[in-house]
Amino acid sequence: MKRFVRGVKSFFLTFPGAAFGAVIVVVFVALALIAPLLHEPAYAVNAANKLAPPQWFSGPHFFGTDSLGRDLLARMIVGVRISLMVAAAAVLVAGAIGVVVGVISGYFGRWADTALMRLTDTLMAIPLVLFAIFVMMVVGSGIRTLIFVIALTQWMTYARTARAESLQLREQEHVSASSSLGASHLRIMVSNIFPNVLPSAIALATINVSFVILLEAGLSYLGLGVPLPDPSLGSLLSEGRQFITRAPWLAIYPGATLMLLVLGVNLLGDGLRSYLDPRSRERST
Amino acid sequence: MLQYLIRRVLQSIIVIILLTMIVFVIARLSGNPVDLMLPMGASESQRTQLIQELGLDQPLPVQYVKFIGRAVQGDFGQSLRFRAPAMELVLEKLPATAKLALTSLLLAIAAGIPLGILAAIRYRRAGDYIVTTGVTLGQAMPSFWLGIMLILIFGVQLGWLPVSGDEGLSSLILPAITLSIVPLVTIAKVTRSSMIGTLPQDFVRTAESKGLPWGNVVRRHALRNALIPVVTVIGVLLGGLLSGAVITEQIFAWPGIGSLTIQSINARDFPVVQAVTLITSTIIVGANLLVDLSYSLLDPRIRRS
Repeated sequence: MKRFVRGVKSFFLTFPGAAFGAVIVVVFVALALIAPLLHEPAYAVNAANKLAPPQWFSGPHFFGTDSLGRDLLARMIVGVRISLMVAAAAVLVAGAIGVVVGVISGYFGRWADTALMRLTDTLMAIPLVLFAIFVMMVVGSGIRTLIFVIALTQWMTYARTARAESLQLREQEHVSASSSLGASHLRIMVSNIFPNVLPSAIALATINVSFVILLEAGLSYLGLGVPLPDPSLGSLLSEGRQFITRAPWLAIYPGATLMLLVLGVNLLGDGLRSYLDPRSRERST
Repeated sequence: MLQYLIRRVLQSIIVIILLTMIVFVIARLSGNPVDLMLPMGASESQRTQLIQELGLDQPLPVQYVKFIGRAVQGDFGQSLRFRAPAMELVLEKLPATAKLALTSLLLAIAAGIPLGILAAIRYRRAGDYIVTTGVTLGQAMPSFWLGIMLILIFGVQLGWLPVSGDEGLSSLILPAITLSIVPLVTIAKVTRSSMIGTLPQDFVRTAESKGLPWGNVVRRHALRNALIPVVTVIGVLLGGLLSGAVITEQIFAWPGIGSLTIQSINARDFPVVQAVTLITSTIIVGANLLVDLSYSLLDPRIRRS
């Protein structure tokens, strides 16, 4: 435990940007955790009080209200919760699919490898956002579909990284040692290959999360992501565009929040990636 | 070279064939396409008629082959909303999107490459820190929020620029800036790191020690060698540019394929969405092929590997 604390401390001292990012992310996660308490003001329609401008500390509606009289700040906080959950779930699903495909592909090699790598090549050549739009339209919007569709567009990078790592790991001595002790392929993959592939998959996930958050916001902006009446930072912005002349606060604050969230995740992710993958330290900023 | 060319072209064709399969399968898996294609409240006899017309009572592989046969001839079916061929609708809107996307790309190149060079020659000094901070902020900026803020400032508050539709050059400015932010930031970042890798190399230092003007050394010796990763990333950015155009066009009511896509989605105009997906994907695969071939011309090492 002491060693862990010291490790965390030296990490943040080496990467001060990451410390700043971590503070932002922690605040957002805390907001996401208290979001269920704000269910009432975030969903209750109050036609008498629609498009009220921000009242700051002088009234109950800090950032004002939307076109149905719902509290904007409460909707933003619930939106942060939904956006974070969708992004985390999508990255987990994408990472899981990618690592499994990549490890199998790299470990067995030959035709399985060729087939799986051709598949990722193809999928990576497709304009994925457009593809996600197409799928969301056909299948219909919904949080579960959204998570699945985003994961479907993101797993290929994980697969390629995991494959490259497995290819090298396969040749290492601890693998041939396990193999000559009679370990099955499955056992070798689970206990020798997988733990060694994990760090680079996590490094990849930390940079992938912010892209996924923006992708979710973009799809929700187009009305193809999180279905109404659930708020998402993206769908809040789309209402902001609609009422831009009458109620500019509906566009300003959700967008600024989204930007701050992505900035925090990026800063933390850049630091973590440099920490987990020292090779990238020189290459990146 | 010829062998490389043939291999890359074949690869692209396979990608497009797989793409049509995926689009076809997803469209069929999601339930009977007739339900998507018929307007709401259609009668049962209309339904059966459409099923026969579309050949949906035949086995899937047969349907796929017929679908490809028609698609190759540019026939993606009829738009339900406009009662016109889907292909024609897409082609009609394509120039507006191309104008927007190319303007944004030029803007991104014109600003991104000089900013990257500036950061590299001022490495770890004020100029570098300003550019890298800008890049960090730009990467976090949701482009659709930037678009809405530009509308708020220059359209609503100042009233300087039009905020919707296509009424000449002035209405191109805001959407082009909005769409250019992602490629601009990426190009600046890649140019910077590529230049940082190139500047300390021997051939640059030789050129410098020969007494050539510094500007010349940067432009003719370092930059030319540093540009290959930039060309590669521009190829990657093309896909994002067309996808980003969907959202940007929606914000500014720009009359291109992005707006067409969203309108078609809202009207459940399935054949048009399918046509847009396949046509733009084909364009992007083709553009990536051209980029790959062009940088294999720039760098002979790529062809051989």
